Amino acid sequence: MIPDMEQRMKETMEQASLKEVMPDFDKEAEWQRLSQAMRPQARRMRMRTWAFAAGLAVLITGGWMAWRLQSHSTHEVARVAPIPVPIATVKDSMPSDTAIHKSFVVVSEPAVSNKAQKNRHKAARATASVIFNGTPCPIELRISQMMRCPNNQPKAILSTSTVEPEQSGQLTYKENKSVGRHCSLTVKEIEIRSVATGEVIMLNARSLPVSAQEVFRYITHEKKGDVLAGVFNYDCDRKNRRHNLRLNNREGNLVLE
Amino acid sequence: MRADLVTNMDEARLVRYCKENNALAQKALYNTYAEPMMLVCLRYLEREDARETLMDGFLSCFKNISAFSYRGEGSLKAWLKKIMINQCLMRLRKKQPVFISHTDDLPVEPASTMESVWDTMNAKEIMSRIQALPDGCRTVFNLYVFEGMGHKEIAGLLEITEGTSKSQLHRARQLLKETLLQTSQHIL
Repeated sequence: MIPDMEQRMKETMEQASLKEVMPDFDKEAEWQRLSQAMRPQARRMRMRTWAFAAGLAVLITGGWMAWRLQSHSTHEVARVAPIPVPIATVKDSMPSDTAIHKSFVVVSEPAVSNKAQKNRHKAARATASVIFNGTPCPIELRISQMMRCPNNQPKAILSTSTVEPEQSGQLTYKENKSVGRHCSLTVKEIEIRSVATGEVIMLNARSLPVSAQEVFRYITHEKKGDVLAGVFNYDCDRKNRRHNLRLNNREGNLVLE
Repeated sequence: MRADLVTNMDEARLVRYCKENNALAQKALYNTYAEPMMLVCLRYLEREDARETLMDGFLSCFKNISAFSYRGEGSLKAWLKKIMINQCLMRLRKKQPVFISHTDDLPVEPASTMESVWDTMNAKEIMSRIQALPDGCRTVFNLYVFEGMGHKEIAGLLEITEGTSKSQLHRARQLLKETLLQTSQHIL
């Protein structure tokens, strides 16, 4: 039981204003101090989130690389920026540089079809020796070849083609017929670039999941079917959506999808 | 959002905006309760500690407001006061106040002669007398008289025995009586 005296003391204090007790209390200055203290707290939380995300990314990448090194210690990893490509096809041995029997040099051609997936094979079939870009982004293909002739220095040939999204375009590379009977052509590198994002899938003799030479076999229709060339981590709008890039000639003509 | 709208909005909406980390709402809440909460802190702690505790209390409030559910008028103030008192007790624990237990029977204090003196005292004078009490008995006195807690509750909160709580209250009353006597002699 609180005596009356203390009850009155309590009432006096409850009705009191801070100005009576502490006239020099600067509410605004205290608020400034408080808001300063609140900012690092928010920053710390943001830092924690970023640190967690970065740690997770390092763990995933590290784990993947360790697994990959273990599985394919003898092969060079395909250069796919920024995150490496999951393995689709594993090659036990690299083919030696092979001569190209068929080739042609063509330039970009306007669209045949705007319809997406289901029409693209039809569109590709309609124009021979073309490549249909079934992805939503413009794609640039750079094929680097090496020509070797007796008694001459090897000569590098670089061919570049750009194909608009959902359109057909012709693919440029050096034809074997044009280099003479005694010369040979080999594919050194194939660079597949997403024009909008700048991401590049670089294929060479030891790249994974597939070598440049293997992809070239699909380009020249020496092999039929489809092959995973690599993975783009972003769509053309730079939203983080990974998608596989495949080359498919199953229907007769070459399709990027 | 306009600052004046935030200032005049009802508490339920203020809480809702604070839950969304709205800086204007946070400031409005601070402006409303900074002074009454500082008065609470001053009863437990000396000035500088009270200032720090007020800041810690509001930081804790904004951090934990998502867990608070508004239950009508006064509920926000009560919740804030509880936070401030907890912060004060945490700060006091770091100072390790001495709670001396007296096992002898405690006499009931006659208040009659002091009442006239109390009536003449204002909040500042009362506060200075409370602040002059030693940490241990000031804490028990505050919890018993101002927060309306019983000895059992105080004992649980401060991790002391009920007997110690009673003796601390007794000692606080004795000390206050002494200062009031000195004041009354000075007045007379």
